[in-house]
Parts: sequence; C-alpha cells; structure tokens
Amino acid sequence: MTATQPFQPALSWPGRTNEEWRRSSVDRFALVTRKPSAPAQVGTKLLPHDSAFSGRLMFVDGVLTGVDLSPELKAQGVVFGALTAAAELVKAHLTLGAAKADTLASAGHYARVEFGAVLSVPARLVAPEPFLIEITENRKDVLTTPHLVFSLAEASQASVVVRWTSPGQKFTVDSATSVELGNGANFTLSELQTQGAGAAVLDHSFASLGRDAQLFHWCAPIGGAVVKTRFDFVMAGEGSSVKTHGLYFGTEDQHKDLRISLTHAAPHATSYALYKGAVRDRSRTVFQGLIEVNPGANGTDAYLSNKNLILNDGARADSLPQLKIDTNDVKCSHGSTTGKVNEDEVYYLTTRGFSQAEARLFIAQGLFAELVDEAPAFLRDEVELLVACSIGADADLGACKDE
Amino acid sequence: MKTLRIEGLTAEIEGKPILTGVNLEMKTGEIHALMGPNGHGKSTLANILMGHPKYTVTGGTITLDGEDLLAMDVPARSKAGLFLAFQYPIEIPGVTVGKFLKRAAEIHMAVRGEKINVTKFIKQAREDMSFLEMDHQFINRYLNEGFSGGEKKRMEILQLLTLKPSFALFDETDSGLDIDALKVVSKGINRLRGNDFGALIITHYQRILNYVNPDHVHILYQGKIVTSGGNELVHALEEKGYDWVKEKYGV
Repeated sequence: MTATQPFQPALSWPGRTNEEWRRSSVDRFALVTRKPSAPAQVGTKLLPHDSAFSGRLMFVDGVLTGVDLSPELKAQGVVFGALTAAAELVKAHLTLGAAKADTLASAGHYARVEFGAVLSVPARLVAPEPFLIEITENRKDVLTTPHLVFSLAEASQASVVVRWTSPGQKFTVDSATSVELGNGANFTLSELQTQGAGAAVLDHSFASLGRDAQLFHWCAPIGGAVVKTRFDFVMAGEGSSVKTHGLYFGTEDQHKDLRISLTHAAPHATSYALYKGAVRDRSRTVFQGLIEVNPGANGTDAYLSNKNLILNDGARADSLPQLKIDTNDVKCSHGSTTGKVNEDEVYYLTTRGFSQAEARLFIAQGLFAELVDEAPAFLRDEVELLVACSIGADADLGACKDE
Repeated sequence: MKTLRIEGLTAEIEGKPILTGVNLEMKTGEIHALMGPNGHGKSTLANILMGHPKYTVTGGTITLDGEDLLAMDVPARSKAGLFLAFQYPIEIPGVTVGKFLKRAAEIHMAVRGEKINVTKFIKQAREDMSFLEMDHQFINRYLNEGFSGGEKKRMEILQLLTLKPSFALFDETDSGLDIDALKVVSKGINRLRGNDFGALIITHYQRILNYVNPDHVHILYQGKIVTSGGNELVHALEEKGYDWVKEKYGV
C-alpha cells in the first residue's frame, strides 16, 4: 500500500523555525521511538445492515473487524471498505499525498500507511444516510498509521462520520484523510475524536474540490494528550465551496494545535471557517487559519472566524488567522476573539437564581451551541455532554467520565 | 405579607459615594415608585438590592422578611424572592429562551420543594407569551440576542411572570419603549399585583405610572430619598420638573 515516491529533495524533521510547528514539538509524537504496529490477525465480520446508515466500517487495533454496506448502494457501484477495496484509487491518493509532504513528519505517514478506509461514490448517486467509520485503538506504545480516502464523482452526494476512540493508553496515531470531490459533488465529513488521555494525535488531511462542489467539514477534536492536525482545503473548481466548522477543548495538560488552510484556486469559490475553543486547567490550544487566494481567483468570498474562551488563568489559547491574497476582486475577512466568560452575562443569570458555576457553564455551552447543532443527529446528545464535561469542571455533571 | 427594609444605606462605586443614606420600607401588596433625576442613585439602589459585584455597600442594612439580604449572594437573593428587571437586559448567545426559562423556573420551584412538569411549564410559557403579545417562536431564539428594545423588556416581564417573585425591581423598564410596548409591560406588572407581590418601579418619567398606579412615590436625590408621598408627587414633578426638587432639597 506504500506509495511510489516521486523524486523529491530530502526532507527533514520540522523544527521551531517551521511556522506550522513552532508551537508544538514534533518530539511529543514519538514518531521515531514508537514502533509501527503490526496488525492483529482477526477476521472481518460482515455486520447485518443497519438502515440508519448507508454503510459502516469498524476498525479495532488496525484491523477491519466489521463491514456493512447497503446492498442497494453496493449494486449501484458504491465502494466502501478497507483500502484494498479500491487499490488503484487509493494508490493515486497516496502518491498525491506523498508528493505534498513537506517534512519528515508528514512524509512518514505515506511510507507507513498500515490500514484505512475508502469510500468511492459513482457519478450522480445520492447516498441518503451517513457512512460511519469507527476507529478504535487499544494497543500500548504503538504508532498506528490509518489513511482514509473519500472520492465522490460528479454530482454525487454522501456524508461520512468518523469516530476516533481509545481507552487511554499511550500511543501515537499518525492519520491522514484525503477527499476528492468531482464537479457538483456534495460531501459532508464529520469527525468526532474522543481519544483517551494517552493519545498523541497527528493528522494531515487534504480536500480538493471540483467545479461547484460543496464540502461541509465538521470536527470535534475533544480527546488526546497532544494533538496536531492540519487540513488543507483546495477549491480547485470554479464556484466550489467549503464550510469547515470545529469545536475543540483543552483540559488538564492537553495540547492542541489545529491548522486549516483554505486555498481559493479558482474564481467564485466561497469558504466559511468557524472554529471555537475553550481551555481550562493548564491546557493550551493553538488555532492557525490561513485563507489563500491565488491569482485569478476573482469573486472569492472567504470568511474565517476563531473564538476562544479562557476558563481559568494558566490556560492558554493562541489564535493565528492569516490572509494571503493575490487577487483584487475578493471579499475576505477574518475575526478572532479570545477572552473570559463575560461577567455581565454571569451576573444576569445569577439574578435569575443560577449559581456562579452553572451560569458560567450555561454561557460557555452557549458559545458552542450552533456547532453542537451541526453534529450528526445521532451524535448530538453525546457531543452536548462532551462539551459540558469539557468546560464545566465545577458544575454538577455526574454523567461525565472520570479521566 | 413580606417586608423589604432598607435602613441608612450608603454605597459607592470605585470609591465614589453614590448612596448617602437611603431609608425605605416596602411590603408585599404595595407598588412603590422611585423617581428622581438621572445620576442620583436610582439604578445603583436596584443593583445593590440585587447584589451587583461592582457596588460596595459602606453602611446600613437591608433585610428581606428579617433576613440579612446583604449577607446573601446574588442567586440566594433571587431564590429568596427578589427579581430585577434590567434596564439593559443582557444578551446570552447560544442559550435559548426555552432552555434558560425552564432552568430558571426549575431552580425556583426547587426552593419550594416542587419538581418541574415540562408539559405544564411549556403550556404556561406559551400562555404568558400570548398575554405579552410575543411570538411563540421566541422560545427557540437565543436569549435577548438580536431582540429589539421592546422585545427585551417583554422578555424581562416573561421572566417575571414565570418566577413570580415576592419583590420586583423595575430598573427604568419604561425607557426607550413605545406606547404599545409600555402598555404590554404594564399589563404584565399589573397581572402580578396582589397581596403576594411588591414592586419598586424606578423611573425618570411619569409615563409608566399612568398604567401602573403606585401606592407610594419616593424621590431619590443626591443619594437619598428626600421626600415620599402619593400620586400627587408624580403630578408635581410633571408640572414643575426636577428643578423644583433641586431648589427644595439641593445642598
């Protein structure tokens, strides 16, 4: 499954002089010291079809343990399975990804890809229900390298929900997702990451959109000890649009560094990025957001917003929005706010009988409400609880898991 | 019958004295109007009663039915039956009116040892909204966010009707309202009027008092109540303006 690498200059490990890596040391991911995992020998089980989903894939410890795909969709040419299910398509994606790798940290993924999933949707097909991919890791001290490929042909429509979980052991996941949308394709990708407290998460994902294609990306990186993600969206086709929304939290000693880039490579594309975070305890988050408008991308409409809530002194959130515009005829803006809970709002709620702690929780939850509402319907209650548990250490939340 | 008693109250904000000795006694069943020129401590008194952290009480006492109000934190005052209708209600993005109102009702019912019945609560909230001529869709909107001035004040009255406090303080609730909104707000206050409800209507103008007739009228000037009386005081102010107060009571 390893890609044939075209000739490229020798890559090095990213250091502190690399802007993208300046706030997160690559050493924390133990990419060199942790051994690539050898997949356990477990067979794949065909799951009974669950009509709430177009299909389901369950990965445990690097092995595809369960598969379910709607028979109708299968008959219509939908491919949904392990990477080997569409080897040529996957190889093309991996080759492209390897060519983009700019440091050893991102190149390593392509040298090691170990398991993963592929979804290929033929032209004009509409998959009504979401595809679910669950990736669970239980092994200690391993370095796992999953890769996900989502390819939607012209005018097709699909949605995918990816869930990442682990119980709390120390390990590294070095993942990447590549999305390719044909002309007029419509894709929703929702990612809920609830890794345990020992996980080091490194992810570098990529999406390319054809003419008039639409992508809605929603992500909630909740768990993990150290998390560094990068998602590059390229609007290659005229009139394409990307909406990427994220909600993220820092608790205890978590370190999260999220980067997105939105490249307008064709005219009349629109992008809307909205990321909201909250930090407490001694945690730190970094959000880096770049809107890049290439020459000739006239009529670009781009907006990027990042809001951070600091829940206590000692927690830190950095917000680094950036615009790089090489065309005149554009509408681009970005906004960034970082601050504490508004005391006037707290006072107002306390005058209605709310305790200080509950008032603060309500207000902080309110910040994330619009993003919680956009979670896949079957995950909404869980996401709401995760938000409450991530921000409301002081409130009475018996339902939160002990960490 | 409950009593709210303020004695010799002095208070300051950031070291600047605002109240210089306020004495006032209110009982449930009574509507009091507190009038006076701007900047003489009317809103300060309301916020001190509610417990705003920005103000410092430097002397005097406030008791609610004999209990030391100043010893209570803000939520305790609310649970003890005190309500403040804000002059500028605060916007809380992402918190729907329904979620907020239900939780506030739940907190107050728990004080009385009751549990909330959600169906009954929703039915009552809808009735109250109809009474206040509010669109039922308000229940799904974020609290005060993007509300017009009149909608915010109606929202305050909706909370008043939901929480049914013993004493309500209306901090210039009439300011910025058109006549229709003023009538609706007054209708809400009048609905609670009775033996179990007392109110302090803080206002600069007599307009709201045409719709909510006060039993007692007080004039707050230079940080203290300089005179008290009945409706005749309202008419005196209407005729002579606040200059009359300044001439008579100014230092």
